[in-house]
Amino acid sequence: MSNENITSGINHKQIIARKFVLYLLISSALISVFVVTLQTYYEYDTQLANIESRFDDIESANRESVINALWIADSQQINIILRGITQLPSIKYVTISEGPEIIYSSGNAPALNNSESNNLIVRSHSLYKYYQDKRIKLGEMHITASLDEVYENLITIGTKTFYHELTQMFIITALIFIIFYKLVGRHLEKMAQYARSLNLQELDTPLELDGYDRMQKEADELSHLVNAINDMRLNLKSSNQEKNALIQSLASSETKFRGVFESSADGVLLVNHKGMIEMANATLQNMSGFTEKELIGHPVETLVPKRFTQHEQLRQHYSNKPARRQMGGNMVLTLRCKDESEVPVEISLTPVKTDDGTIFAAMLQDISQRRQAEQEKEKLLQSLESKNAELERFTYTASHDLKSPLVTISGFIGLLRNDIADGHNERIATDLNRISDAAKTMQQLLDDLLALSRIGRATVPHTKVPLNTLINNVLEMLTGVIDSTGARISVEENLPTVIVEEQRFKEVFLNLIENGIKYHQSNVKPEISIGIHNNNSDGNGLITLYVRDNGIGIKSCYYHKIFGLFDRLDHGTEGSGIGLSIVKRIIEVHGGSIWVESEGQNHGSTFYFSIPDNN
Amino acid sequence: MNAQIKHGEALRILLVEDNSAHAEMVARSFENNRIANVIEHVSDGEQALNYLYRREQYSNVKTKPHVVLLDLRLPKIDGLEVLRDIKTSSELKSIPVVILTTSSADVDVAQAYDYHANSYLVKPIDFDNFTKMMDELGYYWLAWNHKPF
Repeated sequence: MSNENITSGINHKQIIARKFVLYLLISSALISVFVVTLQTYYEYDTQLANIESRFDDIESANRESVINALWIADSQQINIILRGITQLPSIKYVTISEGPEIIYSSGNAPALNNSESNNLIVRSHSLYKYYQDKRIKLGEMHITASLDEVYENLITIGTKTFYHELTQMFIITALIFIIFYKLVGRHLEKMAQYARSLNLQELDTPLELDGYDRMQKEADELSHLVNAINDMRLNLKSSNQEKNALIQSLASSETKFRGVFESSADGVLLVNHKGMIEMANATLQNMSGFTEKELIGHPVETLVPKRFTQHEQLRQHYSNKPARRQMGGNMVLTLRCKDESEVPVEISLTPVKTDDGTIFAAMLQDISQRRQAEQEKEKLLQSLESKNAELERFTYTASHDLKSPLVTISGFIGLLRNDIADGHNERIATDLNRISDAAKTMQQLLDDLLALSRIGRATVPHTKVPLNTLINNVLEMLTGVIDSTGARISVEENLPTVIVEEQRFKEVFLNLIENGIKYHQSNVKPEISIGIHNNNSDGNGLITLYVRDNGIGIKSCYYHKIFGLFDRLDHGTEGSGIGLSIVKRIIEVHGGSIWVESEGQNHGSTFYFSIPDNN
Repeated sequence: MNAQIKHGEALRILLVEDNSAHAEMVARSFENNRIANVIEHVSDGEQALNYLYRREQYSNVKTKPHVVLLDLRLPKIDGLEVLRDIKTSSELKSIPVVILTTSSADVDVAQAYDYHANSYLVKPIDFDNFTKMMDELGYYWLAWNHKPF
């Protein structure tokens, strides 16, 4: 209870006491006035009756003597009688008149038209003398009585009665007040005090009134009230206990919820039906970089990349038909972070019905690692598939190309037999050459296959090799060919140092330079330049080198074919055609790639190959 | 042999073969053949198409071959590419194309027929079979078979 209420309680009590006394006084005063009025009126009647009877008495007592005295005109006697009458109480003035003329009078004649005239009563009667059976009128007697005394009496009596009544009423009022206070007032006050001191923490003390035994046999209204208040107290106590238990269980469930909410490995968002964020857990804050303040009360579109313009519409659509489901279908969903970066996420939506309407719980799982793993898996699968395809091509090619010399050998043995039988001796030598060439080809193919299969077996460690040194070594190995063809070879200075399998990398340059010399245009001396095309300038981690020649060139439709196993564009030249296959394989094993460009036939060709920049 | 042999017209064969030893074997087999024949040999796919379309050094070729013997693995333009080119050309598609290769791989056979090869032959390693195949091949296409032109 607040102080204000306590104060008003006191005021209320005082008002009741005041009202109580006031009503008692007013009512007793009214009763007194009523009683006094009644009594006074009764007294006034009595007094008037007294005066009337006095008039009668005077008439009956004095009539005969006055008539007789008038008859004999004994004025002395008449005056005595009249004086005697005026001696009577209230009688002020007596006259005997003959016609309009007053012949005898006694007492003070009342002034005519004065204010007291209202307080006068006049009784007149005629005086007749029966003489010789004739009625002779002797005159008229007028007796005037004053009511002043009557009024004085009335006032005296009235006042006395009024005071008497008033005193009596005061005493009764006081007594009633005391009794009332004793019986009710103090108990009410105590109840008020009790009610005022009552609070939810202290509901154990029962209300007890002085002089009231709770078990008393005759229960009066107060004890009913006390019992009712005590019952109310107990009800209050038990409902308070229930409330406390409820609050406690609420608090514990809130703690549990908070614990799960905040510790969830997934980002959790609660969004109301208007699309405003109501809660966002720490995981989500960490994921997005937004603080709680920047999220709560803001539209959930804060967390959606701006290009998903249809999100709001979709959300409203979902809001109309809420169901537990995965969001986005097959679409890759991303969370918009504060720094405008995006995190790939999987989002599951659950509608939760509350008293404030349906809210939506969104669980966001960061799937960037999973996606990365998936992408790596995909990459691995792809590389595996391409390896598999390569292997298939390889076995196919190998079986085809290995079968070919067998057909030759077997065929020419048959032809040789026929030639011998037919006596075509001049053919014998060429037949035998065909056979031995086929055998040599077979040998070469097998050697090449073996060489190719060796590449990529991680038996040889990669070392730091300055490219210029490596190329110079290769050029030394090629001294014979270079000298015999008069080839000019220029190498860019300050080529980078790379980390490679040195021996294999020599083969790359050996093959490319040899090819450049081999496929030269007739009458044109081979010119070969080696240099750097792109030194990881675009940041893809690769260095691209080139080997350019001025040879016969390659048509663009053959670009892919020259790297195939045993493929040659020109059968007029030596070799099994495996050289560029080996180069390609070495480059790929080193993590790079190789391609060729040519301005067309007789315009030379440029081989580009990339290797990882390990610096 | 009941087949009618049209005298005075030899079977014109275009042999597309990159392996010179194989080409010689085919040529020598046809030397002993029962039927008259003329073999034109080219050693890669590009030359084959140039011959058929009478381009470059073959611009003065007068007639189309009656049959093309086509190896599959060829330098420059692959045999299957040559086949596809022939069979999609309104000018050349009526020429019977017989694939003659060492490959018996399913994928090659399927691809060749997909490109409308008229026949698919695998070079036998056995010499007798080889000569027999060449003999019957010539006889079939010249004697039994009605040529498109």
